Amino acid sequence: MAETILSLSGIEKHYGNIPAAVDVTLDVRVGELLVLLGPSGCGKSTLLRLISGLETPDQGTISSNGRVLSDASTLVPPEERKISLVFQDNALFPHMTVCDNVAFGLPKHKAGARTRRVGEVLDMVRLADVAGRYPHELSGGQQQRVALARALAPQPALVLLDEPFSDLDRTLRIALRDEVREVLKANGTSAILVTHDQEEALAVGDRVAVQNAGRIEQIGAPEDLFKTPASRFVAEFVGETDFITGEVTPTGIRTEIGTLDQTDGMPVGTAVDIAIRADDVAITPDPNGPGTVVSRTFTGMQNVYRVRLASGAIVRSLQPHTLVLTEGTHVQVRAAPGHHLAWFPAGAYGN
Amino acid sequence: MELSSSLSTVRARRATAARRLLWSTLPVMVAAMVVVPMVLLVARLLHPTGEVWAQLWGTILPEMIRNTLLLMLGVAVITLALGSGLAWLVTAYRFPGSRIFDWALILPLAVPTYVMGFVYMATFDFAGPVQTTLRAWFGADIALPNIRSGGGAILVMGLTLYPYVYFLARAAFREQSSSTFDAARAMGYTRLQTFFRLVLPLARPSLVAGVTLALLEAMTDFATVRFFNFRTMSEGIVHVWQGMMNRDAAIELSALFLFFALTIVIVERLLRGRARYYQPGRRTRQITRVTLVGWRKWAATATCTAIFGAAFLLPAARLVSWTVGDLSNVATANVLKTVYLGYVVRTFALAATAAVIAVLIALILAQGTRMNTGRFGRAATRLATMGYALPGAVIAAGVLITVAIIDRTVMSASESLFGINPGLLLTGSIVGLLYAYVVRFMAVAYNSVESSMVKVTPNMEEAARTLGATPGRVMWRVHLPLIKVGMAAGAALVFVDVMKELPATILLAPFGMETLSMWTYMLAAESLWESAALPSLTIVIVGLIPVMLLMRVGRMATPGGNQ
Repeated sequence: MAETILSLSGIEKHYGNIPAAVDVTLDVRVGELLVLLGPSGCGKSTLLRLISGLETPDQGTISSNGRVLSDASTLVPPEERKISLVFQDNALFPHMTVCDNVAFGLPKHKAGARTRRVGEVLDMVRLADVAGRYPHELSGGQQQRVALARALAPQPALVLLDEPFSDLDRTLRIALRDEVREVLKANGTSAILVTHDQEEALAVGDRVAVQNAGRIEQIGAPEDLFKTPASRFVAEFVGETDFITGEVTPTGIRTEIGTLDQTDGMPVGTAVDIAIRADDVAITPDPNGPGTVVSRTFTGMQNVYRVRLASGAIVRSLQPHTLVLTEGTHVQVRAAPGHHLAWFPAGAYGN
Repeated sequence: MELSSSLSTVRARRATAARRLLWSTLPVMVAAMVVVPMVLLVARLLHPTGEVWAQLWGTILPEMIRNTLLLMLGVAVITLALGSGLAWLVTAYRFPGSRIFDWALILPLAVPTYVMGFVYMATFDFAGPVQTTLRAWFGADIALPNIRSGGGAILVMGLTLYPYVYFLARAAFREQSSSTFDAARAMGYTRLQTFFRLVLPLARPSLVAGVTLALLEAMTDFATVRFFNFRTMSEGIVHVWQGMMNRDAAIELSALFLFFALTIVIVERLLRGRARYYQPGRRTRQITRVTLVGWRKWAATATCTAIFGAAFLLPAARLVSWTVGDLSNVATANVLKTVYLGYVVRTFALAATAAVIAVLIALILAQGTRMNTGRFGRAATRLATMGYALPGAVIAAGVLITVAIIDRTVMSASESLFGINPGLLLTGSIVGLLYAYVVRFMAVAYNSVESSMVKVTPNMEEAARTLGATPGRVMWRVHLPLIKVGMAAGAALVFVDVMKELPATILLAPFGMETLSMWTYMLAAESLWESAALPSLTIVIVGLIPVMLLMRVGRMATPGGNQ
């Protein structure tokens, strides 16, 4: 197991009746990019503020490199934590040039060393040529890269990024997130990135922690989250999942779109809800088929169909762009996952 | 010490808690500074001096109340008519000079009512040049209505105070979109009908706000109405305080006046309703300007010229000619020069001190309200800035009794502890006067500082903290550079307001601390118009600074407004 740079244990934070952090325990490994994923209001930004020292936890311990930052008797102020923060709105100082913004975190450096360090980090984010400009003279993407450079300049133990790409348009967002990942990796900097965008989380995270109503529901590699979601919430939030009902039979789990080749040791007759995604569902046009095409979303290389089953349940099906079916077309629907599917006790919403 | 031996981290936690407590207490303390004098004032009403009231009621009180109400009514009607009418003229029509009048019509704001008052007195009185000339032309029978009357006072105040309504109405008309206007026109309304049915009602919150500002100014004035022999409550308080030397009666009168002022503010809130002054963010097309032709265009130009001439050109020209005349006379010039310099230095020092104190307290208030955004903090801020609605004489009375209580407390404490009687430390000192200025003009300083503070987002503060900056360094490197313009603007506004202030100054200024405004008033009260011109001119010229600031703000709010 790799060395940890930050560890939280039993962190609690409540605002009145609203839980922002419930028994949060997690470690960040040296050099790792951990993504904190969750819907808005789940407490993920609060967690960053607790780690950076801008908020005080009700309970629990935060420590970094073996040094306690916050517990019942200790509270290290934010300026002494060596943890820097990048905001969604970049929070650059509008009265300082790019260069001065980046140098802000280096007051104790000698002039020469400071200039050198500012040059280094600006090179890293490929902005050396705009060092003399003011923030309002830069594009949104450039501003966010300056914010990252400013956060990296004091060589912090950890960088926290709070939805850093949300204010940008889609193309820029994708380009910038790859670049940020590269910079962090090249620098060997450990980081926590907060996002509500599951695609972004899966794309950039070494590991992803899914948070819901203050609680961390699952931490794992992106693939693990996708393949074996620990809760119905994780299944729904990661990877656009539909649910269909099934019943365990001696040969597998029987559903209205075919029997799955898995029983997972459950007694015959158990009712379950199965998490199934668009790439697990096959459809073929058939005038007598039980499914009806509800809608088609053309995404370029593929068509995603929403199909209503005889029971009224709706599943999505991923099809090549060459298969074009109009709404109302009757289809045969078959579950064809080719791998194990996650399931949850029928009807029990939540875990 | 115990602290130094404990962990630094424990200290940090305590420091955070202490800082939070400090910032939540400071706005409340500032609010208390404003509220306590007013509460003490009202408390006086609970134990009224029977004979004083009987005497006041039997003599001047009914007249004072009637005149004050008449003044309010007259000023409201004139400022509303002039302000909204002129604003509509320059917003909706194009005529010769319309672009110049657009900003020039704000200039009368730089002329204090009492300066305007004595200029009009000198010009239109029986012995003045206008009546003298008329008599020379048409014989001795010709007579104008007596300027020395309530009507004269109302006219003068209307002419100097209409820019409040004009400025806000102009901004409100400009941000109304042309589509609602055009929709009404398409439904068959004429431009004039649309103005009364649609444009005016939409601008109501701004109009009400403008009239309220004008009324508060008219209410605080005592000098103009005194020139015109029109006794209002403000004049009455100064009269009872200084003329009759009856401070207790003046204080009780002030308490009554306080309710008067508060009524106006409450009525304003009710009339404004839930609407706001501005609806920012909507950058819609403005109402299309129509080019006037024929007699209409000259009528428009003539109207604007007449108002601008009466409200600004006439007083400015008379002040300049008097000053030049007085300075070219060797005998008076030398006296004037030496005395004048003393007044300027004193006034500027006083105004600068008050401005710095007001801005520093405003800074504390703004930062405090930012850090605790609760209902309590907002209420504290509102109370702390309510001084703008209180007449100067009322504030002076409140400050006087507050300072007296502090003095008595210090005196008895000092005597029982040290056996020394230090005498009255604050009463009659410069402290009381500065206190009154800060209370009266806190809103001016606060609004400037607060609006510039918006530029510092909470995220910026936090980003700075996580980059290793202590709260002090954040204040120094991030806050101050961003808000210094707002602080300077606030200080300039307070400076000018203090320089123009008269009632509180005349009641509280210690002997030897007379200001330019007092000097102007005293000379004018003796009908020494020529001598009063130089200090008046100084006040008007410095007073142009905030008017310029206003015009810049007005222009920024309406890009392309001067097409």
